[in-house]
Amino acid sequence: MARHLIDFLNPAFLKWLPLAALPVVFHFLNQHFPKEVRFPSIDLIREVMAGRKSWFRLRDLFFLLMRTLVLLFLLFAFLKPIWDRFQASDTSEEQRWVALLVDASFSMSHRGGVPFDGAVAEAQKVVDSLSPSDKVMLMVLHHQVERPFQDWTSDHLEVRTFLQQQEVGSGSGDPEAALSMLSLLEQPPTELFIFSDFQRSQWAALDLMALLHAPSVFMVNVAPETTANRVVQSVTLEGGRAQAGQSLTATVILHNGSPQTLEDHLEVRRGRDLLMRKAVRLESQSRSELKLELPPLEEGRHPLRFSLEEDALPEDNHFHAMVDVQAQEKVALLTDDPEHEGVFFLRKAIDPFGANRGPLSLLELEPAQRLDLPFSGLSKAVISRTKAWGDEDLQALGRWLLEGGQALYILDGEDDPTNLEGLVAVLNLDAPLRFGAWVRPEHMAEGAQQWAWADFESPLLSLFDGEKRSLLSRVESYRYRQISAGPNCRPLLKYRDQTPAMVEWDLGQGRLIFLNLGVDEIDSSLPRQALFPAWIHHLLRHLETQTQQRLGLSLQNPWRGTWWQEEAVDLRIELPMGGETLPVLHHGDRRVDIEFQPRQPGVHVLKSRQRSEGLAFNTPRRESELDYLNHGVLSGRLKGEGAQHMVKGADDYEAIAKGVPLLPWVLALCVLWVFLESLGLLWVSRERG
Amino acid sequence: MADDTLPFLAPEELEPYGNFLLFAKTVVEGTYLGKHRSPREGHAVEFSDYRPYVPGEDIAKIDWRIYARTRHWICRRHHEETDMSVHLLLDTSASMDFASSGRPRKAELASRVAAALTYLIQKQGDRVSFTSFRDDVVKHHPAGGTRRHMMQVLSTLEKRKDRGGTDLAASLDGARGLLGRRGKLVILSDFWNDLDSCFSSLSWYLHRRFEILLMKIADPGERNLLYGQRVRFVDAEDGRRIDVHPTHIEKAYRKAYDERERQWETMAKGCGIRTAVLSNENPYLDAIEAFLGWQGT
Repeated sequence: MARHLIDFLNPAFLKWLPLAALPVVFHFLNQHFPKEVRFPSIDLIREVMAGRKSWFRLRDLFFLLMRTLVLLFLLFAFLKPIWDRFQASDTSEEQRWVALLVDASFSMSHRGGVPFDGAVAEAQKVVDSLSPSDKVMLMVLHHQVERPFQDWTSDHLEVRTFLQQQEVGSGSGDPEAALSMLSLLEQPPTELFIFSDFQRSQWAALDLMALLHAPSVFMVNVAPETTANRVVQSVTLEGGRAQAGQSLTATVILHNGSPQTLEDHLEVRRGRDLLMRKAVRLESQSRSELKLELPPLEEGRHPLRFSLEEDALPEDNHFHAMVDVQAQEKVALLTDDPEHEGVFFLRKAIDPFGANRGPLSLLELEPAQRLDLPFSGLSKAVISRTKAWGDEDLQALGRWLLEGGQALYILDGEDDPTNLEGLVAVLNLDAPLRFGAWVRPEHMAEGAQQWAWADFESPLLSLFDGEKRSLLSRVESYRYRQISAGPNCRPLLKYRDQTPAMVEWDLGQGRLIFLNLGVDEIDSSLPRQALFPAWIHHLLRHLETQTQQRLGLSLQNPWRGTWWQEEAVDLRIELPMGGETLPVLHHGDRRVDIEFQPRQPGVHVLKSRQRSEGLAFNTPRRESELDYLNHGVLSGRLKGEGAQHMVKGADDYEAIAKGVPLLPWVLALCVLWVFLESLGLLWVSRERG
Repeated sequence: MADDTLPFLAPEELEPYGNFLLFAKTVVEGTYLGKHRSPREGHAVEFSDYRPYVPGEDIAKIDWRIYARTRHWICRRHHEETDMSVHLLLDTSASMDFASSGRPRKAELASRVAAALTYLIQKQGDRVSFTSFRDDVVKHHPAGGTRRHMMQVLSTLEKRKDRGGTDLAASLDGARGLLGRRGKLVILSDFWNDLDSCFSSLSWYLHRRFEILLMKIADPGERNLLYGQRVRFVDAEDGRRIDVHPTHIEKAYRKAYDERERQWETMAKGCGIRTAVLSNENPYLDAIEAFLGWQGT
């Protein structure tokens, strides 16, 4: 049955529609057969009429239009029109398949969840407007899309109950995923209701094509009127690493999304202790970066909270950070020839005082332990004198590097080309280096080769500042490889013959630094140089690709980690608001993949018998941007197929089901029209005098 | 009761006006002594003024009684009384054949006024001439004061036919040789003509010291276009047509009509011509009252 925007309860009157043409007929009859009057002289009439004919014609047409419309309106009133504004239903027999999409993202918690409560109330109204045979599909946008009923349901009571039990979340909903789910339904909905505040960050770039198969989409806007909000957006740690006893520099990004200037104090607390308090001033609708010098912290994990004064959306006025302060940094040594002189020198350079009493803690991994490298928690390594590695070892090394591992790779082994070739094959990457033959003293004019070029802008060579640059020229190499760097690498040092001596290769989140010389006395004079231990320390300290470390995680995504099985025994998560929850564990051979979806901002503590780890989670910052989409634009993007409407709620749902009786409006329009024509006539008669 | 033989005249209605002298205050030149003062000083009848005797004059003019008292030669002055000629010019063009609903035709009113004036003038012993015109003189009765003459005029009025266009200026020019002696010139017309040419032609009469009365015969329907919706106006004289929504132009038309009338009166006043507007919504006797200047006295 065809649907019409306007239906009539009394369509029999449609046959009287030609009556509306009566004024037109009279007008034309009057035009063509006017009453004739013999008049003494028409000269004066002609004089008066001169220049006014077109105006009179316009006036005639205006009154003709008014009279025709009055008749049309009257006829319309007799037809008893019903405005099926949304064309959502056929008002009678057809079954409705109604999908409800309720946004429960963090932004809906404004002023204690007023928008979310509004969304739930509106959704309840829709359910109330359904007849018992109508089907419902409910979707709630939390961190993920929740579908309490896997299929269409007619149990409206259950839907209402579920809606009442819903609470607004702290994450960011994914409307695109919900729309994709809808598009995959066997029975597509006849009506889709979306209850949201339609935040620009969520909805502006949304692909709405999935909606096109739904004949009617109703976007119920529950956005709050006020959009003022201030946010601690992020906190990062300069240098990427916190060392015990050293002051920390944190970069705090603040956002003032209100029309007023923000004048407040930023407080940094560890638990209840106030670490510092700093006055901040931020212009309206602006973002600012603030550097904070935090006092030195002891070794260990420190949950910090950076806070502004709370507003209508209080959770994003705090940023929860977990700072891991280390006394020493662990460095792994990967070698297949631990007794070699070069390895000895390296070991001494990393741990010059012995017994790991320096700032670096040396950890020598046995060949069998290389497989555990990705799970070791180590971030830095030195590779020297290696033999050909197996595929599993290379895969472990590759995964470790991709996930952020950084290594100093000394090209002093015979099997280095093979290992690098294998690593590249495992990672499916382009080769960083092409290897040639060894260059030995007999190939050198003076029996030794020196470095002739260096990229002093690299932080890895920042040690050689000013006069210290001459120290590099003292280093002589007696054996090195002929190599050339690929396009994805950057040479940092070169020999006189332009052979790269030091090459930087970033892969994934990690980095490899190739040093093309041996560190024993046969291969180079480097070990004898006073700068040797200092430079090795400098290299290891500046290996990080990330110079800033973000101190808090987002509630947006589930957290995933991998622990040893024995560490994960009795693993539970202590929630920031009190209470505990259990994560999802995926057991492997020796490791356990841990996954859990944080739902509250704050520090979550993963605690087991052997291990404890704190993770700080914050509300998704894009949810804090209370910038709402122009609703006309949103519904306009859906034009073309089906019908999409931005509605305010209230009585609209009843109207959707039954249509709006237009009789009072039509009668009012009639009265208004007659009034207007009377005014027009009055004006004309006044003009007549 | 109106006399059957006098269709436009009801003598008994005119009785109250019979004792009044028409145009009494004007000087009329006439052949016969009558009840009107002559511009020439006469020997008897009515004292006018004194004046000093001029030597060489007939000594019979000296008032010897005054001389006896004052020893000054003083002459008495007298007015001669004579009858007057009234020239009636009646418009019989097609535009006079108009009447709005429920009212007599303008031509009928004009005829009644002409008949009444003829009767009164004849009854007072004065002479009246009658001329009907359209675009030129149609019919002329020379001045006469007999009852037979009056009956001829009334007969002409009865047989009049209102048709054709009007050219008042040409008609006035044509009547110059017919009217003879100066006197009162009464023009009964609706004056839809060109006013400039009309007053230009009247200047000849003014120069000959005619006293002129312009009696405009009007119908309220000419001023107030109360014809409802769309109307096609057909010019009565030349058949031209114009489709008009009277309600649209009523106010502007009335303003233009009044302006034209004001212009007509102003031009007449500037020439020393007296005007009167006679509407067919009023009894014709009222029109005569207005003509005689009785209103408000």
